[in-house]
Amino acid sequence: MSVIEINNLRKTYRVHIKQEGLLASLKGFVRRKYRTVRAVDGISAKIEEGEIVGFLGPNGAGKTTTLKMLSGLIFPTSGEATVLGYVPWQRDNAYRRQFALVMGQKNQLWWDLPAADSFRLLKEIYNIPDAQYHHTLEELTTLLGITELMSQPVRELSLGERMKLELVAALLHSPKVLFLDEPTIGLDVVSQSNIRACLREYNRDKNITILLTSHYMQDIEALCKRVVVINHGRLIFDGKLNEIVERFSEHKIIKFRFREGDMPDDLTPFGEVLELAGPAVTLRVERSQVAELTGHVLANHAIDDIAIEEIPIEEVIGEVFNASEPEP
Amino acid sequence: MGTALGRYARIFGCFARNGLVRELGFRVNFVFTVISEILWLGMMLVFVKVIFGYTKNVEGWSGDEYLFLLGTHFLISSLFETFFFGNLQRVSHLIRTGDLDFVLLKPVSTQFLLSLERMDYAALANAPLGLFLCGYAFVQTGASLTAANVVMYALLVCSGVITLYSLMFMFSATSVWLIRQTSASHFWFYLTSCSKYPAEIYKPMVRGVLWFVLTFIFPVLIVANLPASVMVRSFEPFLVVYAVVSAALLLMLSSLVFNWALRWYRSASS
Repeated sequence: MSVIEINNLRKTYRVHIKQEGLLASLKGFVRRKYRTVRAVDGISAKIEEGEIVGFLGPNGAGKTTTLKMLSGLIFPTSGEATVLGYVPWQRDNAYRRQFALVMGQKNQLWWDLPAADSFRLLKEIYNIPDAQYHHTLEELTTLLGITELMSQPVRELSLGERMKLELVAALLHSPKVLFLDEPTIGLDVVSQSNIRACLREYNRDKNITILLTSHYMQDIEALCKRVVVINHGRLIFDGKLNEIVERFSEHKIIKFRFREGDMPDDLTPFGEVLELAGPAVTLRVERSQVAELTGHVLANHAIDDIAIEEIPIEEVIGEVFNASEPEP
Repeated sequence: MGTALGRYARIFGCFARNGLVRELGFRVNFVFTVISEILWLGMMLVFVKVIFGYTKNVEGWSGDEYLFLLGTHFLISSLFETFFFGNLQRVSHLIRTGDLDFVLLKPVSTQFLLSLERMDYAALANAPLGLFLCGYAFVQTGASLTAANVVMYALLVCSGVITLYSLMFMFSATSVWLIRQTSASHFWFYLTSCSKYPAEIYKPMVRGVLWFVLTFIFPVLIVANLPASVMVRSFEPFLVVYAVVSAALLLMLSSLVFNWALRWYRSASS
């Protein structure tokens, strides 16, 4: 059985429509208008033990809502899900002992106290034996390089330092499943890569299953072999990260460096010109034309250098999001 | 079972410790809270002095008996505020901001974590004030002290605290639907203000409807009145049993209401 099984999961909200202006607000006070929002609209997926899966989608796509259902924070409108064999929203203590949720936008550490005090509380809540507690704490703080931050009140720490401590707090009880909702949001490049390195190492050592959302493609590229893309609550792709490019990108980038004086005057028949700097040209070319075009150019022009590249993954994902917009 | 209890006790110990560390970080706040509570008690005493300057008794309660009631009210409020009041006020904030998430994730009773996470040590300073007032008033009334009375009194004080707690916990749970419920916390304030007066004064009002509502529907009148009556006035077995049973039932009801309300929790933000 898979660690996480999601079957046709849905969540709809009824939201009160607030209109601008005093008069409209007065009307709204007397008679409310509602509209239904389908935050998650029939998602199914299976995730195996030890996988790190990236959950992609634009803001409001339903990623966080899905994570919250899998964490048992909110009830689905319909559909099923099990994590480690438990139905999350039944909030079984046995289930809650085995997973963790880290949210980049929310913190659980006591604001006015040093993190060490919050950790001691978590030790009691999760009933972690002394030896295991000290061992895990030592291991995690060394991994993240934050041993000296433990005794400072949390409110005096930087965002990056706080996030690392939040991660330690979430991993103290050695969960088998970890949900991460934008864990690197707002962090500087160094902190981001620290956190990525920690997660990768932790996943390799403990075979922990991780489901992660992020708007930073570096996070996804560094950690996830597999990605699930959703938009408007619907699943649009589930597979290997590089397959996204193959599947959704209809173009490639070709870079030519022509020999002096041998550059064609008109490049437009070859493809879309992205950059033109002296003899170096960057073109965007349809996938099906790539072989023919390069053959043609090599046969007819003297070329110093040539490179064929995929479109950067961010752009492809952007295209996928746009393509999945529903018809108005 | 024993280990589970021990674990909850250790978690509570951690709360108490963390709360103390936090409180000690804000010395001035602590001092101000204690001073304002003493002033508040002082004002109540002046009020009692004035009332009983005009009359020897109010609906059968003498001045000293009433002082004992006031002391009991102070003691119960103090215990309630020390352990629960701040936590329960925070519940609606946690629900509105979505910070309830972290409480829901923990493999421990959500109600337990929510209700006891932060102890208010400044409020605890009122308990000796209340006890002192009770002691003084008790000697003045000349009532006799028996072991049975004291046990009964302690039991009723506890069930009073539990009654207040359960009512307010249910109020807090409503913020799942109301999102902002300042009106509910005002309602709470007025409701509990009634409990510091003798229950009998409500009987003539609105043909006894008010007394009925405040005794049997939102039973705040029995909270301080009953323990005070047991010590310095009369013992009414029916009401005593009713107080203990209703506290237990309200506690169970509050847990049912809360768990039911959580189905509508939306986990705001991000």
